Amino acid sequence: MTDTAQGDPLVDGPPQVVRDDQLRLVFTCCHPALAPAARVAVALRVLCGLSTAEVARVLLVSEATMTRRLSRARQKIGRAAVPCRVPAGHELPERHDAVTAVVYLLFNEGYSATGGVDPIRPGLVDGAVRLARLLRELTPDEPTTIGLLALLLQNGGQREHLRARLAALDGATAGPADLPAEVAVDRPRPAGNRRECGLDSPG
Amino acid sequence: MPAYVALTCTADVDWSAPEQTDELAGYREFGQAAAAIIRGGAALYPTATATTVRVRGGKGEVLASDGPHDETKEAITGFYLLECADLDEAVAAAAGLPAAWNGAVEVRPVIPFPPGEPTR
Repeated sequence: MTDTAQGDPLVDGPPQVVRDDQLRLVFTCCHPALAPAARVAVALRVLCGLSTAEVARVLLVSEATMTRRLSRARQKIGRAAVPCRVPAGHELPERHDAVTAVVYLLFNEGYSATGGVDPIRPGLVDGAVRLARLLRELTPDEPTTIGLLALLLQNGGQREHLRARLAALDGATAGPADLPAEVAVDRPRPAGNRRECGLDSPG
Repeated sequence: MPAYVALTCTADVDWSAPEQTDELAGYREFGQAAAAIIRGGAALYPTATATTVRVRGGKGEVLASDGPHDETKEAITGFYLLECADLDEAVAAAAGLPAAWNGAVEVRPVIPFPPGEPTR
């Protein structure tokens, strides 16, 4: 079966085929037989590689609650034989919201990490943007997908800018010449600031 | 292969009454369509015939009371034992039950005890 641009999807068969492995697995994890709150958590934990503690913080619940939620989901998947199967085209819409949430939260964690040394995790940001692009290709007419990709690109574009600002705030090596004007303005000038605040005597 | 029980939850009906013939035809169709995966099952008399048994107290006093375990608008009116490859197959099969249209079907996985264990 070939995808035809003009064809009626209901007549010509499903043009929606998830080709990307990770996105397929995210759709698989978002099985409607799992509790809505568990779908997103399982996908973030198993496919996106977040730790249980990170998933808990991302979804605003305690780590103990998340541990229980994940273990209940695992138990149901095992006992009820919830299949790890790529959903058919007609099954995609009911999983769409959860998949969108996974991508958004993945980005969020990358953009502003809930823990760890580095507040920005570029790998997660890039992964989320990649998934959002694929999702957009898969469901080009879905407003949520378009909005999500736009949001991620807009904020993701600021990432380098943010990193530079953080580096500047840390008094790191980046000099004013390397930074956008806006950042350079924000860059603290320790000596000057201290003088302004009267902490150091001039000269 | 995993096994599931599909509990038909519908209005309390008397399947043995003549006026249920049409409704039963739908279940007969299901029986034929799903013959390959049906391992057992039964239609139940209405809840008016139910007796609920409880044992309370240290002496093991048996309390048998009239009526179903739960007085609800929908009752368990029958069940099927299905053997399916996975939950998706069981759900697809359950969707073919008339109960899914005018009530609900609860699909529950069966614990695969070894032969001779609690189930027998």
